[in-house]
Amino acid sequence: MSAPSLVAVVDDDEDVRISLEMLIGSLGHDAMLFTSADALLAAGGLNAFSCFISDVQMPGTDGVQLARKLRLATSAPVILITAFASEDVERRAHDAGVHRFLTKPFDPNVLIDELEKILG
Amino acid sequence: MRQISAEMLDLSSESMVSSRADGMITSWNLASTSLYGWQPREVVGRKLADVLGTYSEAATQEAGATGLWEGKVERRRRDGSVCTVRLRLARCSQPEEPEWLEVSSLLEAEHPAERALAASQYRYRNLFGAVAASFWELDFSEVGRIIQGLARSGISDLPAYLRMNPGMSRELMRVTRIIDTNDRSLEMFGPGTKRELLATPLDFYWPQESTADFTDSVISAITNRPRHVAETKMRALDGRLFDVLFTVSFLPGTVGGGTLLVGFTDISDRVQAARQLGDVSARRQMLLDVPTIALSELAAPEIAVTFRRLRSEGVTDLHPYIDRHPEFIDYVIGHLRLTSVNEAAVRLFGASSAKELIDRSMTGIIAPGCEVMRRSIEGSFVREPVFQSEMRMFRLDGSPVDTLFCRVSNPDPDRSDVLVAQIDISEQIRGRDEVERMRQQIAHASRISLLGQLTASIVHEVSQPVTAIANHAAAAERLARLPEPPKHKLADILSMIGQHAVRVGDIIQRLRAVAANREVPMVRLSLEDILSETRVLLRQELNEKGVRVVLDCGPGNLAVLGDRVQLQQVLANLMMNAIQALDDVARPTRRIDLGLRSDEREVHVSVSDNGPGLSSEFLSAPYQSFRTSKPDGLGMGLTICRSIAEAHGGSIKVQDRSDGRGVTSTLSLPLVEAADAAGD
Repeated sequence: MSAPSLVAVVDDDEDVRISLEMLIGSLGHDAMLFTSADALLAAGGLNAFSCFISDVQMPGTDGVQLARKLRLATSAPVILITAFASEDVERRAHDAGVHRFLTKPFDPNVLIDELEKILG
Repeated sequence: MRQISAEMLDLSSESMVSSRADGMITSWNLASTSLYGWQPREVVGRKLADVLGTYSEAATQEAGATGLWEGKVERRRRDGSVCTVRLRLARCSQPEEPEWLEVSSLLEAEHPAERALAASQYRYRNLFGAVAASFWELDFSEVGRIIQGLARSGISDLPAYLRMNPGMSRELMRVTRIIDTNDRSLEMFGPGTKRELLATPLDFYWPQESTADFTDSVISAITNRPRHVAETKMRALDGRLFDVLFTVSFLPGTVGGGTLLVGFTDISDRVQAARQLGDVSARRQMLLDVPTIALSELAAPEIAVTFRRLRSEGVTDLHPYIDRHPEFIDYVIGHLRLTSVNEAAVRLFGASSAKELIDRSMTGIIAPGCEVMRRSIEGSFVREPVFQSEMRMFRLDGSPVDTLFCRVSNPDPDRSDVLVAQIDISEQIRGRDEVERMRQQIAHASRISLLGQLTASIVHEVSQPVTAIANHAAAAERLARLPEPPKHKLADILSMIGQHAVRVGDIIQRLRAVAANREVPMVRLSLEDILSETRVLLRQELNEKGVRVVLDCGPGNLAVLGDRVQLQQVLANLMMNAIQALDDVARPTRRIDLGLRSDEREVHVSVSDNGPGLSSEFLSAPYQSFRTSKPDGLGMGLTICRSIAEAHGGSIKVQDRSDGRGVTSTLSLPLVEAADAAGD
């Protein structure tokens, strides 16, 4: 187990946010929770994060727009999760260069595998 | 203090009330409305002590001295119940007018149920906010009290009384309190803020012309129907009127009863489309109202003789006579001779000249056994001077023409000649059919769209807590495998999993109240009719894809009890699936067989295609829920079809054909005694 990394979690649903924090914690890493993409962008210090997990449908900046902005600021991978999956959203997500696109509810083991690959 | 706008205060989830030094309330945010029940317009300008009660001596002293006091306070709400709040009182010293600001949140409530409600409120708001249709939560308890009062005062037929007294319905709207609305409501009823939406009395949203629709929904509530669906017009905050489909559900187990959930779907576009279509046919009608009327004179001396003979035999009514001698109609048609026609009649019958028609009988022009003709003959027999009806006739080339047919008999009883005036109304009949078809499609589409929106909402809302449950479970599993598992943390995670499961249950309960159509209005229907209507509904798709439909109806008219539109939806869905299954089949051989069979208990409607058969993935999950709707709006998925079939006491089976390639979907419904099914 290497030194703990910091993962940013962006979701307007509190239950999902906290559950992701638990999941990341159980892998021995730390999570920082944000209720919206705008809150994350306002907080700054994007280089502190080794990975971003974000919902797509949120008030204000949505997850795909966030992914585009993050690509300009950091090389850390972005994983998008959404309850409103459509082919269109998925295509936009991949065009925005997201690392992985998951549909809620997803198999947490898939996310664990991704995070272990990213965070070591 | 004063540069903070009311809208900003509304963002707070805690109740915030500001008051002047003299105790007058100056602002009241949304959360105060949720907590205490009063609308801002009801309390701003009143004394805070009169509305909520006084602060303790200690509180005002401490806040006066240090600028801040915090503690527990008992408060009375608008409905008289008592609650305990955690209160922070602050004095904001402005040079000209000192103001008090209090921030409070619910600590404990009278009912344990209310405590649970407060806990679930945040979750519920989340759910409420995300739904695609506009939803309003209304407090109907005052309406209930008024209705009870009316019943006690001796009014026995409340529905009739309400229909007679629209003023009473307006009053019921005014006493209905709007508890909450979701985000979609602002888009639909805006432009405006949520505060304006909640603070506007309900009767504003219901224009006068929609009063009767509101009354009907109240009557539904009185007569204990769990659900009410209707189309009506609503008014938005800016005064514009728009068409909606609205559903009312009565939520079981809500605190104090009397809470309603009302959903609105905007159907203006669709209603507009229907109206334009109506206008087109109205314009057509205007053109047709100044037609050239086809006039023809006919003579029938043999028939006059026959009539006299029958009268002498004591026949007074031809109806039973024709029942016994159905060939009599064709006998009359064959002996009616055209003696003169005008130019319009020549055109109407598709003749080249009047000569071609003179002395011709009506055989071929009037259909054999024509029912309208029969009524005309029966009228002639009892010397009714005029008979008028719509009648389908045939031109000389055999093509049909719909006419408005008017027979005027010669007033002299010894004369057999009649004058017939006819107007070609084929266009109008077509227009009328068109409007009718449109109307059905609109009803169909609006139901499906509401269903689709609800489906999307359910998917979204349920997927959040389920995602959380899965994540927590995976985290717990990893922690439990550690050499020294952190027991407390594990206990916390397990308790959260439990809470999320409760949330899923809540969501399902709430949406079930809206979406579940537990009550199917049971009307006797002919399945054969529904099958042919569904065929008409899908005519375009069938033609485009070049699919041949073969109907095999078996003997007898099979009747079931059910809801016409819902059963149409199921059959349309099964047929759409069949049409799509034929995509890879060569055009000339595309074929769907519709079958209607019955045994002593059930009627079976089967839809069979000659496509490639069932895929292995379908076989593993045939009723996979919530597939995205197809653009044509009929892709409701077999799941919904199955639940409609089950609501009718029936079932749906999908299997590979026994007689070769392709799939057979069968809808089975309980048989009611075979008889003539009523229409609507």
